[in-house]
Amino acid sequence: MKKLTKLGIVSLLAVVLCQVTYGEVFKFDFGTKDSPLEPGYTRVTETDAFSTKQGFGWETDKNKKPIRLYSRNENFSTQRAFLKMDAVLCDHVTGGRKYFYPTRNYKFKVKLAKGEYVAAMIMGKITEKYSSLINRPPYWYMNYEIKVNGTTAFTMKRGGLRKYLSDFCTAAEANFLPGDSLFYKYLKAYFPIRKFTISGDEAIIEISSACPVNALLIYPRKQKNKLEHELTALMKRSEEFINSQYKEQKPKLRQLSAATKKKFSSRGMILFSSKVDEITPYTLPAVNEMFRPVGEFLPVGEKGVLRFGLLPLKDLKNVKISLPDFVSKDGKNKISKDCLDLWLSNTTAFSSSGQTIYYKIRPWYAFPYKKQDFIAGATRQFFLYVKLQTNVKPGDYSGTITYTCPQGTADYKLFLKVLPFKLIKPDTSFGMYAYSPLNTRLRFANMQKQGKKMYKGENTFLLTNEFQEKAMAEMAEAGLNTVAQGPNLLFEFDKKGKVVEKGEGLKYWNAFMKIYQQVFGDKPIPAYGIGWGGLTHERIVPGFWCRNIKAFKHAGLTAKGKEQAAKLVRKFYATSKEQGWPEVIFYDQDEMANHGIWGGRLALERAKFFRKLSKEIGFRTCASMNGPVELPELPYLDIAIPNGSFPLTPKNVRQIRKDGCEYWIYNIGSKRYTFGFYLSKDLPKGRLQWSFYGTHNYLGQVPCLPSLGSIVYATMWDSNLNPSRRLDVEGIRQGIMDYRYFMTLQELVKKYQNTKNAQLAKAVQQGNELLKMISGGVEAEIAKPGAGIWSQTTCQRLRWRIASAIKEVQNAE
Amino acid sequence: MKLTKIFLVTASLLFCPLLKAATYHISIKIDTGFFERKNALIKAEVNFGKTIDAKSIKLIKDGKKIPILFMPQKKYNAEIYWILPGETPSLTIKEYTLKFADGAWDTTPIGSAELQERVQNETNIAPNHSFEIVTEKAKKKTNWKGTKLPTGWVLADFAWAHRKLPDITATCRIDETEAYDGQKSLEFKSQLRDDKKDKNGRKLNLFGFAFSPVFPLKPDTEYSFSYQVKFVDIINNDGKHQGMSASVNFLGKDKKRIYPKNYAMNRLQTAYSTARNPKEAYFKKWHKVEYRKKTPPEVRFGQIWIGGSLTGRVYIDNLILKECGKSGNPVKVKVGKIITQ
Repeated sequence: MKKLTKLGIVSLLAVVLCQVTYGEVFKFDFGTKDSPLEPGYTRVTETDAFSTKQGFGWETDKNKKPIRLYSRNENFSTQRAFLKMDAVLCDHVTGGRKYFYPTRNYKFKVKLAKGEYVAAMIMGKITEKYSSLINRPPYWYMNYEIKVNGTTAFTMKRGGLRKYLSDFCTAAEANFLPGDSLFYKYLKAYFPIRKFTISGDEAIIEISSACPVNALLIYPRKQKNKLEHELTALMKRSEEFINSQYKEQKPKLRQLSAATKKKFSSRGMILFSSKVDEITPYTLPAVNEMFRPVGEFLPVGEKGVLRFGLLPLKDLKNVKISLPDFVSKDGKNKISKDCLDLWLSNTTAFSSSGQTIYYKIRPWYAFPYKKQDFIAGATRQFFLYVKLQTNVKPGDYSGTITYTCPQGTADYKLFLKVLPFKLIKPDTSFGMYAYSPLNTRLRFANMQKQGKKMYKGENTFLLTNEFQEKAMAEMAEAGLNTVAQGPNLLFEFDKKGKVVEKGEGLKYWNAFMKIYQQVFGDKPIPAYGIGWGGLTHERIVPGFWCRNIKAFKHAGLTAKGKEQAAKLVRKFYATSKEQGWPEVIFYDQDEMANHGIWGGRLALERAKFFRKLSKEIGFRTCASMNGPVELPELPYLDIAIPNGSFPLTPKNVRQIRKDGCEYWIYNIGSKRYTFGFYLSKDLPKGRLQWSFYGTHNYLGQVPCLPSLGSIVYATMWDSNLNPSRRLDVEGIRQGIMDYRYFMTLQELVKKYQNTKNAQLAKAVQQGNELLKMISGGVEAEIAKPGAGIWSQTTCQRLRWRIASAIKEVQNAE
Repeated sequence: MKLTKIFLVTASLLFCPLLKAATYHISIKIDTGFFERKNALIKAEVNFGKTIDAKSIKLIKDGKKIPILFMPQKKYNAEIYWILPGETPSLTIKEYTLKFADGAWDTTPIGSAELQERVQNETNIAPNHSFEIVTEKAKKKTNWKGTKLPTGWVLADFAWAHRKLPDITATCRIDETEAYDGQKSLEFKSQLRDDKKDKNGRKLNLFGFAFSPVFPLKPDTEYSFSYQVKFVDIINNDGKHQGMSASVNFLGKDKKRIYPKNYAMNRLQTAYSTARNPKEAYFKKWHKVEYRKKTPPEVRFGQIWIGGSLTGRVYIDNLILKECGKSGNPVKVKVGKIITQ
């Protein structure tokens, strides 16, 4: 009996060992020594050099220095509910890290029983560094190859830079709809499976250094079906693992009645107008909203938006939409369809603020409409933009938009009231933040070694400018008149201490400023970042601290640091004069209250330094401020830009003005109200908001995991490399227009305040009461819980009241 | 003449009760202001100026009687609550008539239990919110040596992990010398230790904490939470996050913390940083700290936690936890003059 047991154990061990080493099926899970291991798989780390005994491992070329390998577990974040991946996808081995990859390949070798095999390699990663969750790995945009036993088995050729960007941005054109899988829509594409065949008694797999390897499966050719089955099962497990981490927050689901469906079934769809802020795939129109015409009122010379929804009652294929001319009631006047522009919102899975495991499906950004299909039951949101010429005759206009497809045809009535006045353009600066032209995805192409090699001969400078031009045109189109954007490391010091240009920074900035001037004219630009990251960076000027609080506590701002910083600033403004740039407002610092009381002290020292310099050279300074520890720096700034955390109390606003600062506001939300009627309280001279595109977002972002909703501060681009329109920027557009209505009425009230015309005096008095009612209703301290944000509907109703008051004054004039 | 006298006496006897029960009405105008309202709770504060019969009160809108909650306050004053049913647009004004008659002043609230619960939820649901109700001779614990507990609460002078340290002076106690509201507050005294370092290599700072009893919370509901804090004897301990914090921890149906490690989701944290505010803003004066948050769908219960990470002495009082209206701004109410009918 004992003998039998021993025999059994020996046989079992032999089978197991054979499976692992010289058996027919191999399943390797690559990663760190302690990251999760897929059951039934063999762990491979970066230290597993090939040995005959082990039968697999990393192969090193003789006479060559071995390439250094790294393993990484992407389930690194413990800070919050950040995406965790399953054992196979979460970890990998690569031939480099943190954007540094040698040009050589690395090799993995497996000893096989002589024969024919099929293999599959899972190769994916979603982040490059630990510091930011949305930095994209070079693997995503590099060319690479896989060789098996010296023969090329797979080649990734991404084409030119424009082709790559186009492919990358295609993901932004997709929709996430109810029932879709987060794994398949937002992750799977970044973990491709490369399949190849192997002949002989070994497999030497050669991979470009930037490529990650997560898993390798080798099956005898006869068991090809088993390999496919295993891959399918793996992906299913991954999907379950990923999707189980998130929950969709669905609204209460309603159903259309059978009678309603029947009523509109021949049309195949329902078009409707709705008051809701967002028309999501779940939005069902109320009966009285179905085919209820959508309308808007608009002063001459302005651009307005008619927003409406489409509920497909069946799958609609290849839907063609015909735009109408708007015709006046008497048929004599027309607004041509050339003035119209139809956009369709894409839907994305978006995490709710503060509730990181929940997501909602939101129509977050839109692209111009292209003929396409619609899925039954998934409601979509349309924006029809109308640009009025200044010579349009005031009055009521209407038109009919037509949706046509094989499944049905529907007409939808549109109304437009053209108002007989023009809105003024107040001198307020309206802008969003954006990052310097070099801090884009194009940076890979024009700065990093591998990128330069890969895109050699491509004019990345012109491509960068093309994007900047399109982006700024889009900002201006939304009503913004500046951009809070600064340069990136323009100068440095040579060995003799002379200020010299650093790389191509100045070339890019100069081109940017030319485009800025074309789009925004001579409006002063608040050069965000110039005071700490763009010109006087701590790396260029050690001792002139901005973020290094520890060093500041220890030694303060050093004399040498100040001297060097002054040289750079002088050089910058001398260059500005030579180049004829519009006024560049020097952005001293940003949110120093984040560093507590010492942050406030450092902010004060820096503000004093720049104030002295600004008086000598002749420029204005500003700072964005987010805490009361920054109050002391006010007397040393020309422009104070606080946010709600400053806080924006009436007392602090008075203090800003008392200390001689111009009052601007930043980052109090991108709602319509915060760019519109909120400003009527204190009439700031500027309003900035984060961000049109941020550091990593510009051309580096599409809707995907690991971070749902990380696209919130990014402009999406389509495959033609044209920018999207974001829902929050639409709110900003409307807010700016609300404010212009307010200021237009205020100007009329001022103009006629002493009129002797009784009818006019009455209209002016009523207008003045309306203005006071609006500004009096604004709670200045917007960050205070319960301060309240007025809804779009409230803003629209107030806008109409103002429009009526303006007309009253005009009629009485 | 005699007959006339008899008639007058009889008449006065007959009419006296009627005269005594004279009826009145008041016009009450409400204004939704700049916010849309959904089933908004309306509160009107009325000074009747005399004793009235609470049972006679009727709120009339378009000839229909509206259910109200009558909450008597100080003499002849009362708060009257009712619901503005359904959705009401912003910038909407409505007028009601409040009718009542003379009678004896009664201090008992009158109205539906549903309205009373609604008022309670929108007023304050923090248990023993001002620490006024105290249980004496409470059971002493290894990490709490006090004698008076705010009823229902659990206090600790320091974390259990430090129980073996000698000469601990950190305390968390009911205090009767400082109060924002009522007679009492909760006092925290910390201790900066020379003999032990924390994980960041700084001197260990011992600080007490307090837990409220568990109470019901609604899912998917926005709550606002505030408290008053007064800092005394503050010493900079070089910590990055020096300050006070009070949180409403979100608990599921099993009364356990939801998503235990996901602090973005599992609490409504309301903190005040002494490291991020100039001393003159908070030192030796009561300061209100407030925040609001919507509860995740799993939430069924809540529990308040108070603690800190500063060195010094701090008083906490007047915790207010309430459901927010949609906008957080109450419907404006204008009460007219009393008119005798």
